[in-house]
Amino acid sequence: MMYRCFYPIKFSMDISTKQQAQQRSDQINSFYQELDALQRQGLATLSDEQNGAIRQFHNQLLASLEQRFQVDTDQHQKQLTRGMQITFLVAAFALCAAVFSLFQHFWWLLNLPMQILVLIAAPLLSLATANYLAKQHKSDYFILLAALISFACFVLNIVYLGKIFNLTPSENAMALWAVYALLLAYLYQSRLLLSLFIIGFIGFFASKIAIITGYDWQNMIERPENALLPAIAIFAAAFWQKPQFAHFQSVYRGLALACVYLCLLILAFWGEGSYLPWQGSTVESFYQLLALVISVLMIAVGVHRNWRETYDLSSFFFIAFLYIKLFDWWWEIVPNYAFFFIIGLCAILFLMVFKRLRLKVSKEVRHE
Amino acid sequence: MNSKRLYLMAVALVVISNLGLLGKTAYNRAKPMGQITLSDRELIGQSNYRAERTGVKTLRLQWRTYDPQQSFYSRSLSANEKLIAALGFDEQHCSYRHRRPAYVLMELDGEARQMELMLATQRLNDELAQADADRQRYLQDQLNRWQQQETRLYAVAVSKDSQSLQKRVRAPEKQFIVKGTVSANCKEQEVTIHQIALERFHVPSQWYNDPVLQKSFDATIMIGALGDTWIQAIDARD
Repeated sequence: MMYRCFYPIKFSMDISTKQQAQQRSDQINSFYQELDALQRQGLATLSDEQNGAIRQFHNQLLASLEQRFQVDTDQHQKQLTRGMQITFLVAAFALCAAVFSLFQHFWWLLNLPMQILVLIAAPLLSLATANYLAKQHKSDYFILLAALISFACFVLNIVYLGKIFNLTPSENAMALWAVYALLLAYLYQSRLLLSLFIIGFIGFFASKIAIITGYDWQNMIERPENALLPAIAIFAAAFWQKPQFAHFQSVYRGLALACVYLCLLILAFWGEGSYLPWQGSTVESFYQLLALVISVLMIAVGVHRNWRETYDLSSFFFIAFLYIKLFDWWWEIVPNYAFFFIIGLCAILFLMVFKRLRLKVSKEVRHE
Repeated sequence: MNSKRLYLMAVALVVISNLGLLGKTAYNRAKPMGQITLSDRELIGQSNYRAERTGVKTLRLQWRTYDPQQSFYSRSLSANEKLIAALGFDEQHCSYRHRRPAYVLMELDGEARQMELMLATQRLNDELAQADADRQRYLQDQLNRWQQQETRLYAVAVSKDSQSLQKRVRAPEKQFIVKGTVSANCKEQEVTIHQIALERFHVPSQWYNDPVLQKSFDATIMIGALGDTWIQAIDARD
């Protein structure tokens, strides 16, 4: 969403999103921290006039950013923001559950025309509320709450219409929900709604692949490979984000990778669930090798491209998967103390590897 | 893409989705393809507790397949290798876990039910002759259950396509074809029907609180042009 700044300040960069505003605020705070350290060491001196001018400029800028984007200008505010984010999630789930319960409780009191009217009006009214709040420049949290309720109402809309008219459940409902979540995500810059879009997208295309291969779409999870292609598409979508949606990239990559790793994990232990025309044990060995190779590769990619979510997820999956395999191989064979000793040794080995990797990366950064 | 355009697209999506669903319903109901009357033996109401919690009343379809062992929850049909292969199962995927879509031919009070009723009657009569009083009472209850309470709706055939089942429909008021999901057991040469598309029927709002659902009733089920069904009427049965 594009916000206009009504203050007569010329920004050094075009700030159009909350993320850009927060980066600018953090940059200013880092500048003052470093300036203090340099001044104490006698390495940098600013005249009173320069100091005053810079501080006045920054104060006005920070006040403007705080007013328009509700950014955090110091550490205390950041901590409060984290608390607000958790509270927001709780509020979002609670309100959506309230909407569901409200429908269920009073549904039978309405006749058919009223039921249809309520179902169609609910998502439109809550969407209009979100739009109104956005125009009034209210807090992002309230706008997002209204947007999430609109999404929940749209889900209810389709589900209940299907129930009332006894329609056969269709995978196309997931496409509708996914597209709606996508529109709301880009409209209100919401990563939570984007996540809902990604889940719906993967679910819809996985069910389509299941249908093409001759399975019932409701049994799409019987073939985890159904989700691999859509997950890869979602990962690729991260590269096509405009600068004002750069903060969405980590969501695309993170959820796509989580989906891929989950599929690999399932197939590594359940070869019968694969499309591959091999013996179950062969399929499992293949996917175990693939899981290890992909996770190591993605750790390297995550470090190289500075994709934190890629690195974190891949590291977690690699270690978790390895430990599961170790358990699978040795729990029955070796005594408990020996098994945990092996796990500990592996952990120490990983620490040494990551330490060397970290050293290598910091040398590369310094050379740059 | 600016925010106004995104907002209008979101509104349009909601409106078009609903128009599409209502249009599909109207088309489905405009030219019904069939009609069948099911009783409270085939349509079980949900508990009042669940109805109050969800605000939606549904009737659950009770059906079975012919089983010479006469278990009350039979869902399997015998099938030859050709049928199992036609349904898309091979040796590697012949298990309860692997399910495929299929069409199922349902029959109300037809040959399958008559055969099972005859078998049940014969078996129970044979046992009655040698049973003591308690056992006789139990066997008589079993017989009554088969004759008066158990569902009369049987799944009699499955196929990959509906056209081949359509050729077997001789009494449209008692037979209908429905989509389902099946699994195969290659060793036992049988197919198990796990689910059919008509498991639940939404009760229209005019019958939500009607006491007729608590007693014996007949429900007229319409089958629409697109295969979706609905309850047209619910009448008390004397």
